[in-house]
Amino acid sequence: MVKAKLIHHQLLVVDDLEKARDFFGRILGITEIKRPNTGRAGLWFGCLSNELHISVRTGIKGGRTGMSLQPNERPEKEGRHVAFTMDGSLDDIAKHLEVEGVPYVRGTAGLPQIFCEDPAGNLIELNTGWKQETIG
Amino acid sequence: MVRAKHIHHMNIVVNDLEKARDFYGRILGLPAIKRPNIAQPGLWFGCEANELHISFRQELKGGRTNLSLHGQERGKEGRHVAFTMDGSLDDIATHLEAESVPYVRGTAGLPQIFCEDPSGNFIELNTGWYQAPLSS
Repeated sequence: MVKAKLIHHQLLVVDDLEKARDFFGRILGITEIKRPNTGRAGLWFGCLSNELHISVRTGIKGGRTGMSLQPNERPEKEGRHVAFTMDGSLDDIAKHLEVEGVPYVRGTAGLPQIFCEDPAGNLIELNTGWKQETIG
Repeated sequence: MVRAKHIHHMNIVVNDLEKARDFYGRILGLPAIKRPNIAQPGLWFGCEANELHISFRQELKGGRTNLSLHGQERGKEGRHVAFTMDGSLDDIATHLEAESVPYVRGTAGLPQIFCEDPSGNFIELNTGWYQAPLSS
């Protein structure tokens, strides 16, 4: 039977490769991995069983969006996001983002979440993790 | 040190929860997981170490887009979530044809098929690969 066995990667589109490398590689501390020659500009990271793929597109609006950082207050599909579970407490994460000058908000859904944007305006969640049971 | 230890979930926004349940739950075969009582409607799936979160947004324009299914031709909408599937690329293609889901095969030399979910979110189905960290 054809079914999904794991989430392989999330791909995000950015306007600036070096800013993405700094944000995901240095600030979030994930590991860059080898990227095959796909004929297009990009950057791949590994994060345990997943990869994060970054593709560069010219001609897109770059930079942080200025939208609310609360997912449910962002228009259209812009509340979509990738969530990373971090080492450290929510306060540690908040302090880390303050030191790096990254604007953030704490989530309002009762979950241990902080939301921010990457330098290209993609919404990113940083959390301290949880595990839900399968239904039925 | 505050750093990302794993990707926790990917969140996407849809305008029809039942169509999303059918696509991710039945067609891709992901198990639904318990979702805490947060104010906004949605749906959570588990996929090995990750979760897939679906958020409902009523005002969103629904349905598949008219965009190309080749990521490099979609601007910022080239962003996607990729699932590694059981079965070969041909099996995946046959499965999508049986479900009448439009798809294309990737052109980057990787074992990839691209399609959209019923709300127009760009989705990759692949047969998996592993890249080594750059430092090793």
